[in-house]
Parts: sequence; C-alpha cells; structure tokens
Amino acid sequence: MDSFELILIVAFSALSLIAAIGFITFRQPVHAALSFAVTVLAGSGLYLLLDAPYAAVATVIVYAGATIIIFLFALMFAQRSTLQVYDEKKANPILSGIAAISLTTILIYVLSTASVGGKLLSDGSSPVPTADAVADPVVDATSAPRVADLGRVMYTQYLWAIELAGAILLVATLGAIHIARDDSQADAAVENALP
Amino acid sequence: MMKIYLFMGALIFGCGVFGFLTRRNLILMFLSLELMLFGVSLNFIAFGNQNGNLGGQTFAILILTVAACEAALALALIVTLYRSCGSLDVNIWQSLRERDDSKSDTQSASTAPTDDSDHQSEDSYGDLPKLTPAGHDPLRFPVQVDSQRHEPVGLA
Repeated sequence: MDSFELILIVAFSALSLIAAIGFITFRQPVHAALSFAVTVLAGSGLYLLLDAPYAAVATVIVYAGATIIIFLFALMFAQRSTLQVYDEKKANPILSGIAAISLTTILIYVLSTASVGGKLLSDGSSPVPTADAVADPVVDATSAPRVADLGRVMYTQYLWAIELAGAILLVATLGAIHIARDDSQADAAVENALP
Repeated sequence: MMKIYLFMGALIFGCGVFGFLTRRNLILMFLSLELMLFGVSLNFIAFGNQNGNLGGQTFAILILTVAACEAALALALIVTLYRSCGSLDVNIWQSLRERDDSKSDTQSASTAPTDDSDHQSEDSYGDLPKLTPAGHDPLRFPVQVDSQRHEPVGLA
C-alpha cells in the first residue's frame, strides 16, 4: 500500500461523496442527474483500485452511459423549463433525514464491528487470499486475477446466475414495452366494435 | 483501507435512501434507487477483493443488470405517468388507490395520510382508471355502468 494509492482512494471517495451529497441537495433535476453521473464515475475509480477493471468499465458504460442517457432523455421529454412544485419542496425532509442517517449509522457500525470466523470484516489489508477465504476452483490462485478469470468464473461457477440475469433482462424488456405502449388506439377500436 | 471502501458503500447507500425518501420527482426517485444499488455493489466488490475471489465482481455485474432493467421499467413508468397526467409528481399515483367510502369511519380517517397543501387534488387527474370499491355486494348494490365510457359511474 503505497501513498499514491492512498491518495487516489481518498480522492475518489471524496469526489464520490461530494457528488452524492450534491445529488440529494440540488433542486434542478438535471444537475442532480449529472452529479449522480459524477458519483458513479468516481466510484468506478474505486472499482479500478479494487482490481475490478471489468466491473469498472461495465459500470461506466451502463450507469454513467445508458442509465444517465435514459434519464436525461426522460427529463428533456417531461421536464418543464421552470421548477415544478414537486422539485422545490421535499417530502418530509426531517423525518427522512433521521431515517437515512440512522440507517447509515447502523450500517457503518455493523460493517466496522461484524466479524466472520473471528476475523473482522473491515480488517482486510491486501487482496492476498487469507486462510479462511474461499478460492475460486477454476482460477489459478497464484497469479493476480484477470478479466479472463472473471469470465471463466462467470460462465462456469455462476452460470445459472448469469442465465437468470439474462432472463430478467428479457422479462424487463417485454414489461417495459407493454407498460409504455399507447393503448388509446386499441381502446378506440374496442369502442367502435361495441354496439 | 478496507474500511474506506465499506464506509463509502454505506454512505452512498444512505444518500440514496435519503434521496428516495425526499424526492417527489419520479425520475430522481429512480436515480436514488440506482444510487443505492451502486453502494451495495461497491461493498460486494470490496468483500470479493478482500477474500481474493471473483464472486463479488460477479454479483456486482448481476446488480448491474438489475439496474439496467430498472432503468428500462422506470422509463416506461415515467412515459406512462407523463402521458396521462402531464406531470412527474409521484403523489399522482395516489389517485390510483381505492376511494375511501366510509368517511365517517374515524379509524380510516385517522390512518389516511394527510395531503400537502400544495398537492393538487385528486379530481384534477380524473383520467386514471378506477377500480370498483371493495366491500360491496354487487348483487345488492349493482354497479351502474356508463354506456358511453364503459366504466362504473358514481364512484368519483
């Protein structure tokens, strides 16, 4: 752990956190969406530091690319130029703040004190596998993990999970098409058919 | 170092929770959901890195597909809501629920949420489909159907 990596970690974390706070405080929806993109981009830097290059690239493409584009399209489609009353006024800010802060506090407490097998969850100092860690059977544990190893694990050990993800994508596509379809023409046809 | 990643995941999740609870714009509520999913997958990758296996990354990619599905469904819902009401306020969905028939019932009146003063009344969004109220015997109280619009009358 050299100091350069530490600087990177702190910089990415700070940028991500600042952008996340900006996301929940900006009133203009476009600004909030763009700060969400900054949060995700900085978090992808954390992914890179965690030796997860494929997840980082996929996150940039899917979250910061596709999702942000979809939501910006929806904003441009549906947003009026002036701020609406539902953008100006937050719903129950005090109660929601108490709930979110207490939930986050509980999460941080659990993450910092919980232990598995007598070893603190937050005690990891290096990516070197520990004795009680579960190694992937199909991956050569002596070398650093590569993207090819990730693919091998995904399509052998977690094959059913990946297939399930594909099925979920298919069902979501069909559902989205069904929900967003304009039924007015079909309704008009039914109205004409009825006596 | 591990602590920074875990706490970052928790903090991003907390920001997502706060945003989801406070926002009333449908688009930003879905973005808050995405932020929560992102915090969770950051923790998964940190745990996977700590244990030296690739299960964490695999699960993060699964979460990524779920987020993509959610974005597609969210876009469909946004388009539907905007087409029917011309607004993105999630409180409009409240007009989908059953009408409270028993106004004199104090219990249901006390548990009913109080509307904001700036909230437009439900009747201004009269275009949404209405359900037949539950709890009526249709043989004793037949539902009258409007022959023009093919929907029950007298419910509004």
